[in-house]
Amino acid sequence: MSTYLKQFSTVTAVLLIVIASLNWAIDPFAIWHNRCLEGLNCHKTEAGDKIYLTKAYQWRHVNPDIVILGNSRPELGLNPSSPLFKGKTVYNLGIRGAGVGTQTKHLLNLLETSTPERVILSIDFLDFLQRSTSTVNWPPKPYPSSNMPLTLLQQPNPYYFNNNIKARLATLYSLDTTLASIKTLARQYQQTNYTTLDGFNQAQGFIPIVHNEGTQALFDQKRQELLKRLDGRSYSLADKQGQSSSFNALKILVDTLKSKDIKLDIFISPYHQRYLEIVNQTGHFELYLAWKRKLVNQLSTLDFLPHGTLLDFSGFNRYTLEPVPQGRGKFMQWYWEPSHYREELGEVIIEHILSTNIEFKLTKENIEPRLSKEKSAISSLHASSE
Amino acid sequence: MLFNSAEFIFGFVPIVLFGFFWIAGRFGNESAILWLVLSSLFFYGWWDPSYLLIILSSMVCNYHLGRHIYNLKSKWLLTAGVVGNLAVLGYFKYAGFLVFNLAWLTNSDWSIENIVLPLAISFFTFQQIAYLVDSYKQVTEEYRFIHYALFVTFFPQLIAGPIVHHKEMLPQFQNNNAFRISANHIAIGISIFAIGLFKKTVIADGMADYANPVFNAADAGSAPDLLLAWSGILAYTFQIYFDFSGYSDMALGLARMFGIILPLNFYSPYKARSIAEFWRRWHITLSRFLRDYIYIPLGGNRKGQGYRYLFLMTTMLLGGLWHGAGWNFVIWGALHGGFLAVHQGWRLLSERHTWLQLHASIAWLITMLAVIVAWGFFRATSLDGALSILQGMVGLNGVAIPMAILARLGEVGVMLQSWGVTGYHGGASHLVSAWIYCLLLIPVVVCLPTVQDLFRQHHASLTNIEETAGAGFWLAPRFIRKLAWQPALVWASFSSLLLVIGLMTLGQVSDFLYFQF
Repeated sequence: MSTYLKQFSTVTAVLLIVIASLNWAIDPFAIWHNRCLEGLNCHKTEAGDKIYLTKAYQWRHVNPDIVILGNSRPELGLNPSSPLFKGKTVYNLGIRGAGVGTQTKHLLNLLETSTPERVILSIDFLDFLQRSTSTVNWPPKPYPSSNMPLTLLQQPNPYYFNNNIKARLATLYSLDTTLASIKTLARQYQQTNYTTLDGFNQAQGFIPIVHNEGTQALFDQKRQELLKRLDGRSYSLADKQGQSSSFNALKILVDTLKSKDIKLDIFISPYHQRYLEIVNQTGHFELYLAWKRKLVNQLSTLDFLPHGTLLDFSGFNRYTLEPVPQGRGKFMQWYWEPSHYREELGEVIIEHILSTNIEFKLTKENIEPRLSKEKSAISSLHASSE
Repeated sequence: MLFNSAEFIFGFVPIVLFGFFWIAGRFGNESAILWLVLSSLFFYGWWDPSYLLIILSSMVCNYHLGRHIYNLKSKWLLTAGVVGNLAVLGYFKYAGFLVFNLAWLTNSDWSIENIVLPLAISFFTFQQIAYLVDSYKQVTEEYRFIHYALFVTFFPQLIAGPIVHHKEMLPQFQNNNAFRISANHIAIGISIFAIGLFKKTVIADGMADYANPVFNAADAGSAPDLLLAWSGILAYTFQIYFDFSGYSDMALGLARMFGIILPLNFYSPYKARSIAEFWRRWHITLSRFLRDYIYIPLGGNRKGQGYRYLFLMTTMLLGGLWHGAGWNFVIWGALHGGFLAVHQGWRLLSERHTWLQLHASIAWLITMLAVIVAWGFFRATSLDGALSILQGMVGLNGVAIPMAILARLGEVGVMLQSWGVTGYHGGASHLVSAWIYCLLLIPVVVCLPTVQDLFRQHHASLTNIEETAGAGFWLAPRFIRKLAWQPALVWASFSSLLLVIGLMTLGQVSDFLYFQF
């Protein structure tokens, strides 16, 4: 039996070393920043499932000149490799499902080790909504699961030490990671979503869906999700005490970047017309307009608007009114589905941010006429659909 | 501390194991037993130290009561002891349920503060009730309190069984061989533990990902269609199987490292060809307890067939309630009681009319269907949720296929839609994976041997049982029966592989299902 125990121990040690080596080499969640070998590990096809882990570590190996911040919309839409960035190192810190607080926290942690010259922030109406009956707990307590060195209030995260060790060990030894490594190896040439080393999500997973089910299917699915989230629910922009986690976090972000003399460009994501129709249909269109008004007021109060840029790609314009094709295999020019725009529209957004073009610029002066225009546009759309 | 946690595997077990043998060698067996008791209490108190007060007072009271019952042979003391134990269990486990139902019946607003259920109280209470009864029957022997404490608290069996008898354990604790480190025991123990860890963390927890969403949605009011309902309930059927099987194996393996052999608690229940056989294979020590301390004292089969059915039903209702204070558990118990009664009736009938005897495969299929349907009530947290799943299983909620699949079916898809099959967005890969895993696991539970069979030459458990040609529903039994663990490189590699894969799940630790009892 002693021989058996020796064999058992040896095989166990060998297996652990082999598994750790495999996971380190493939690095499916892009936290070890190993060499990218084409066809082997460049396309991080599984990082999307652990995007909070990926985006907590990936930037630590990049020293970006420009940081793109937001949720899945810029993550899928703004390509850091765009020629418009002209040789700048750009990192896409967009995180699927992340609210403004989480986005800000990630950026604040990045700023501890990197000194970008510019931050491009994408913001969304839905990220600022809170249930009418809820009360905001501010300042927020650090999440026990957070693996960020600093909290949103830029204090040391008491959970960081343990969580950091756990996260690093888990990316070498967990079953999740090992399965992800195997899938990463197998899916390098498949049409599936993958995260690049500069944080961009190549949304290739939409392609087979459009081929097999058509773009309309993607619109239908998003419609169901939106209806589930918005229908019959009462939302507001702040609680009874006037507190809003998202606006508070935005203030922290604006103030921090101002204090570090980092340029900030903020833009409101383009939503396809169908998206706004659902917002209207569920009775939240007035709130959507009120959000924009409050945003402009808040940024004005923070003394952002005179110096920084706020662009609004939402509403009704030549991009958002693009018709949705029927039938399979027909792709849209600007959108995958109503809330996620394609890289092509991302290029338009980048171009406007980097230029002095004022077409989409939102200011204290033009906010009211723009809101009136949107209101009448949704009314006429509503009337024509009836 | 969970068996499948890093602190248990890399901290608690090595320290307790080597401490035990070192203390035994240096300070003697009694000191080693004390070490094991203290370690087990630490293990128990890890969840909440306040629980220690309950288990310690329970042990002290029952130990002294048992001694008095033994000496005085007093039926009154025995009755008082059993009632006292049940009263404590009833207070912690059923008071809230009772008050809730009384308030509902009387339309009043009675309520009771949330009583926290002490961990494993059902297990150590039942174990000590059995001890009191055995003391009355004079089958206990003289021993010290510290030995008794180890019998109750021994950590491999403390939390989720098996429910052991003192006569099974105490002789082992008094045997000198148990106090000398043995490569034999360590090798067998670690191999069994590896198999159990893999079953629990990889298979059971993996299947939970497919069962939980379906049941949670059903409990929240949704109506799962045919494919979804079946995928959810089958996933749970395998989840609970591998959860309990894995835990039972881990318990056997851990105890074996200390040189202690536990009774068998789980033995391929999904090979059963009747519901009675299922209960001889599922949670064996609980079934034994229910039989010996409820069914037989009630009258068993001594009072005629009619009473026999009544006693079966009563026993299973109590068995259902033992698993949890809720109506779904009562229904689950009642279903199994009913199944047992039907089986008994059928058995009598088929003895007289042999043409009624079913082919093994048919008997297995009917047994499995009964078990699966009952799991719906066991898993759902509401009656509506369970009924919704059952409705889905018989097609009352329609048939739906993810659009991603339906769109790829071409003409077949069009035909299915014309038959009323609908499509929905999302969830295609999840549903397909659920079905693939469920279908793959059917031959696993029906074909593969258990650790009891694999380690038959090395006494995996105290129970001397082997699969024979006449028992259970087996596919390819001759081939499978040739499989036997041996201290050879191939088994070292296989066990090591299972252990390493099991260890890789430690970052995603999950609760063990049987903790709630």
